[in-house]
Amino acid sequence: MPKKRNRPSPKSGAKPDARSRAGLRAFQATLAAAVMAPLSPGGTLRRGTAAARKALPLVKPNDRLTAPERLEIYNIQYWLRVLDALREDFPALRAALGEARFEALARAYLAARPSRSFTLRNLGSGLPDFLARPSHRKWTTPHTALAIDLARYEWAQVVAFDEAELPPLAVEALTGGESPSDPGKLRLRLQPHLTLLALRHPVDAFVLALQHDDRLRSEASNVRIAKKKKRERKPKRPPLPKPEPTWIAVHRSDNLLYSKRLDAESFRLLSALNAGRPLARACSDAFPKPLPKRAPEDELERRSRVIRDGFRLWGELGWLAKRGLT
Amino acid sequence: MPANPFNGFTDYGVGIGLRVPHYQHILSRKPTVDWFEIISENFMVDGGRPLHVLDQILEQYRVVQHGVSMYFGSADKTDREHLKRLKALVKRTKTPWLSDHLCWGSVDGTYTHDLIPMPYTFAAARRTAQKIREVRDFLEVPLAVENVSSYVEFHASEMTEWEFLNEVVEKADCGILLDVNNIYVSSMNHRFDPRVYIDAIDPRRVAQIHIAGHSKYERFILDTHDHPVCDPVWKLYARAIARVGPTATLLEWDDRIPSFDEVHAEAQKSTLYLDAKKKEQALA
Repeated sequence: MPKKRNRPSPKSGAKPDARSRAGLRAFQATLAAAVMAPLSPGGTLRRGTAAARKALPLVKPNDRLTAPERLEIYNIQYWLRVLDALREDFPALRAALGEARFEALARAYLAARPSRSFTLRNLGSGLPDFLARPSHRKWTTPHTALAIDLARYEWAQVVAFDEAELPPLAVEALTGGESPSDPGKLRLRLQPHLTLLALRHPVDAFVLALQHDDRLRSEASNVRIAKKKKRERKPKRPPLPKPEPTWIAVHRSDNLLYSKRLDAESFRLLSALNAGRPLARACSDAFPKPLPKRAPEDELERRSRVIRDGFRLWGELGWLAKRGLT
Repeated sequence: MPANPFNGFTDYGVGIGLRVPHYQHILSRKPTVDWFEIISENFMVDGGRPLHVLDQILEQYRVVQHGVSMYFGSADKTDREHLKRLKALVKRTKTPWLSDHLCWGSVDGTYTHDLIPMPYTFAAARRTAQKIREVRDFLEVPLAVENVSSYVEFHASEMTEWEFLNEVVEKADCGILLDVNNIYVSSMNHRFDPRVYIDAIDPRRVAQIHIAGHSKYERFILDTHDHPVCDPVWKLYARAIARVGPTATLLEWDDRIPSFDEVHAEAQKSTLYLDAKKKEQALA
């Protein structure tokens, strides 16, 4: 066991002393602030910031690296890691904004909202809300609405990838022996891996077009290596989608990700079910307009068909589950 | 020392890290591998493909869990929800032991997602050992702590890294995941003799060994896990095996990952040293 050395007496305003438990906490907070501090425009440690000035006295230099240079290794590695994680989870947003704007946005987002989770999987969870704040539009103008749609869609894909799947409820259960005496009072929920999105742009088609382009580039990669003398042309981005109200469910089936377009009525019905509204109320929420005075029975029949067909499909897709299960 | 209390008295041989680019190869070809090491955090999810793949792997192979976010050295309290998730995974994999790093990386619930070295102080050793004991008692599985690569040293340190490692594992009564590549990287970055490190650790506590590749820069070395194991690291590995005995060994390859066969072949090089030591022990 190493010998314990005498501890010097603490001075007020002195640097955090990791030789006590309270000091250890302050020591780590000081270093973490410097490690997570934004880099300079040149991608180096900002030595003059308060965070760096507090942390640098804790770090020993050696014969090859100064204390700032040693701290900088962690500072750079931190930003490489978190930026990579966001790039990986939001490729379509990146393509829409362009690399430079996406990186500026990602750096601002991460500086404002550093990771609060043990896993990088959750790093982008706050990005859609971050984009929606008026003061953050400088990174997305003139495509702010599209950027928010893309961020929401791509975050929904993260959720669909590994969220839980509850035992699906068969449609027959709604009408069969398991159903309560009044099915209208039944409360259902949707699968946790499913996200309902009301969007202003048909971003699903844009994302699909990007993935298709990526696959083509991947297929062609051997050819490109063989012809390395030829100048590589930057792949052309698919055109940005034009505004068009779009309702989508992003979900998982057999461990593959899907997005399914919905009509507005189905979207409202599913949203109401997921919010915990009883079945009968959810069905009426789906159709906010009153029945027409002329031939109301036709509209009633149409609405019944939407509900019947919807539940059959959602049951087949395994989207519905009993409420109360986690 | 193939089996000891810190690896659940197992004799696991040579494993490789389970990585996404190899999933299809492993599931379709079912190659012979002694065991796979998984990154626990990649499977601490509620559903989907990660758990589906893991369950298929578990039908065919032995799996050991290795974590990257427990941060035994962080001054923060251990997160109970995190531990509950981890315990659920431990039950699923039946890992005979579990490892994570002797480092810190989070403060007040904010995560750097890095493995930052400890200030080697007695107070830090006490706090770290206390957290290791808490985690072990909750998870009810043997724990081993891994020495990390480092690029920084602190004025506050009161002992060497290997003294700190010994101090922590004795106080916590836990095992060591001895990463010989990390010892090499840190020895080059801080100019110490890596053999002194190997010779100083308590061989009875070594539950597992890591080997890996790294990247050399002009004035420091980065632990990148993107190359084959270099000769000086193999030499250190040989020294570790000579001192500790044949021990479960794992090759880490996390970036620019080559084919499964290439990774497997690199890992299998360690059998040369393991078999030689076994032969020597048999003759003795």
